[in-house]
Amino acid sequence: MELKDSEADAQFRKELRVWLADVVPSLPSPPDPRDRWASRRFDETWQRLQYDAGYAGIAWPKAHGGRGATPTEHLIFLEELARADAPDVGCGFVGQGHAGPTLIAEGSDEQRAEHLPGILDGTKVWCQGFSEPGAGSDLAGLRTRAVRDGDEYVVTGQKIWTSFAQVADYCELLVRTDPDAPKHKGITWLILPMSSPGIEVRELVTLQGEAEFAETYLDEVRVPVANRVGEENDGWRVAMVTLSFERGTAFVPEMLESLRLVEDLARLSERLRRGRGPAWEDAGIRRELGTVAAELDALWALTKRNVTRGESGTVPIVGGSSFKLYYADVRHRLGDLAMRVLDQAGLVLEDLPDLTVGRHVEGSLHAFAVSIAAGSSQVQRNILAERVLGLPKER
Amino acid sequence: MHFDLDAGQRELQSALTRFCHDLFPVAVARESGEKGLDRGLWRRLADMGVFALALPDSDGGAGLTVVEQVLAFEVLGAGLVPGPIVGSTLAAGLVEGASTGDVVVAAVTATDGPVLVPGLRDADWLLVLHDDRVELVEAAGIHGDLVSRPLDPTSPLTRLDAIPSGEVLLLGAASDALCRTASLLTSAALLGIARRTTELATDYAKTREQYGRTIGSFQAIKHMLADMLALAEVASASVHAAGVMLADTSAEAERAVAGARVLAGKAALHNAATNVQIHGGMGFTWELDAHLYLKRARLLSVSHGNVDAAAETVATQLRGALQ
Ligand SMILES: Cc1cc2nc3c(=O)[nH]c(=O)nc-3n(C[C@H](O)[C@H](O)[C@H](O)COP(=O)(O)OP(=O)(O)OC[C@H]3O[C@@H](n4cnc5c(N)ncnc54)[C@H](O)[C@@H]3O)c2cc1C
Repeated sequence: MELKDSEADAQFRKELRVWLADVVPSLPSPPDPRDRWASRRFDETWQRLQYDAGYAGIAWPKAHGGRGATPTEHLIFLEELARADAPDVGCGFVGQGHAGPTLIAEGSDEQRAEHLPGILDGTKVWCQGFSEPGAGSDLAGLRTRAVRDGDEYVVTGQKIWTSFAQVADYCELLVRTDPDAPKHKGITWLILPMSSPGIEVRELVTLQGEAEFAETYLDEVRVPVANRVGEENDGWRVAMVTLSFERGTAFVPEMLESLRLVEDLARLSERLRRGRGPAWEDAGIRRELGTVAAELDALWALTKRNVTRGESGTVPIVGGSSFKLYYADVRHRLGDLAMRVLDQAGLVLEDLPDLTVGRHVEGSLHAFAVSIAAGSSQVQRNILAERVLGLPKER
Repeated sequence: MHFDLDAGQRELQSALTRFCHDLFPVAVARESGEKGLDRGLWRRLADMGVFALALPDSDGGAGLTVVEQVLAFEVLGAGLVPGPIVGSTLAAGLVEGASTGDVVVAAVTATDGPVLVPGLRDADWLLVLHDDRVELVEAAGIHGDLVSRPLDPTSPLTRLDAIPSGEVLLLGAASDALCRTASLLTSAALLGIARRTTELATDYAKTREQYGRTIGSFQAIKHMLADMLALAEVASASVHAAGVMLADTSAEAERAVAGARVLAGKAALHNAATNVQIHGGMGFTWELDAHLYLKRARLLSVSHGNVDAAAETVATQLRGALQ
């Protein structure tokens, strides 16, 4: 059991640091996140820089245009990006984290050749059309219909919570192709070009006040059968492949970002006064800062354990759900702590003169996205109880 | 990086688990509390090599590191193994006969407030861990009163009027290192309790029936168990990482050791308490072992540090790293 970098890993880290120290300060300042198109351009610029430096598709196989990094190198990459305060993946999230890896695992050669390059260089943006108004946690209950018509599917239905739908070029879409089959057996995974006629995207404003996601209405949208990934009615299995990437390392970057937030909160607690002294001198606040930092350190260690187990081929299911459940909880407590430290400075979603508080207040709201999206905390508990501890199934 | 148990480390844990199962059922811990430590069994524990794991081969040890000690203490904690196991492990190599089990060494960290020393009744020597030094005192020369109703009935407790003083054994860095090891091995035992109580509660939830179904099919119970599992998993990553960092004498070891106490203390206290709750009325009985895990967790959670102080240490380290 060891945590130290091997010589090769240390070398990888060193080169990466040199590059980041050079490139991060040269980036333009990030746009207002409410401006989706400006955000998209910013994310594309950042992705292009990574692409040119050979870091795009860090964990993708070389044969598919990735860097073919080992899982350990992947973690080092994420760790160093956070350390350098580099931008996050932004609207490249679905393409790089979901669609790309799914196409590599399940797509045809034509589909890979058509789509992987645009994901890697940041020019193509993807969104995820899985959830529906009637199918959230119970995703397999989805009803968006696809009817075969020659070499096309005709798709009608509604998706919801589709992040980045407004700016996306493609959508990974789950549709029902066999309404008579048991619910897991009649689903198909399609690549939907967002420019197809019959799509209407209506923005939904989140409680953070930005239009991160949208409703996507589909009215007789024609999708070539050639856009199907996997077999017809085998889409549930393909979707589980997609989601396994989400449950792998998807939350690691923001977990590392949370450590930066605690550090910044510790700094702020020395400047913000609480009664007679700085908030830092309040033992309750100090202990909670220490507790949250210790828990984030522990989640980082758990990530390393999961990655080690992943390298030896065992699927880190315990690690995955334990991580997500615990991380969501820490994220909520971090938000609550921020509000205690900031006191009245926590009443604004933007920075105050001399006081960068906006990201803490945003963070306290973002905590809900963590405990709701990608398998809510209740669903994670069900998974742990039933699949890991072997307790009886609900139904 | 390879952050997982290797084959030898797994074997160490499973051999020790079998050993505890065969020789240290919880009944032994109960009896030890009432009647005194069985020195024969103590020597068997020493023969398993637990006290000498980190001693060099030349001193009769296994030549391993604090990582293996941590893994061993996780198992010993889960088994509620009685006696001053932390003290005797710390004393191996410092006090003649400790590693072979011929003498029993208790340990206490000097704190303000009443002086209550677990395991002193059965010990030949007492290690006293101060901020800046470690002292050794002969037990026979210490006057104290045995507490008639210790919270943890499997751990005899002696009340002293003051911290006794003795021969200074260690100073400076060596003393600091010993204190960190004491804290971390205690956290490892707490982790063992967090894991064991998760198993016990899960097993019970699969068999106990109410309303015509097993209680483990109720989502309220399932979710309690899932939380226990997650707490134990995350605590395990924390405790093991602290072991590796301590073995590497990493600059972040102090933060990691304190963090391990925060996580393991929280997990053990929560899981041991939830285990009582899940056992219902049975959980409230003296006869069932559930209360023993809770009481041992409470004892360990304030031995060689505590969760609040550890959280403060992490916060201080966090701030220090920023300057
Ligand atoms: C910020 C954000 C971004 C998202 N982006 C996307 C996206 O890009 N694409 C996409 O397809 N989806 C996206 N989602 C949707 C997300 O996957 C769903 O919100 C999630 O699966 C929960 O479904 P729901 O909202 O329908 O809630 P519901 O499933 O209706 O849940 C409501 C409540 O009931 C609880 N609950 C549900 N089932 C159970 C059960 N069996 N046991 C106990 N409790 C239960 C839940 O925990 C929750 O508290 C996003 C969500 C958020 C918050």
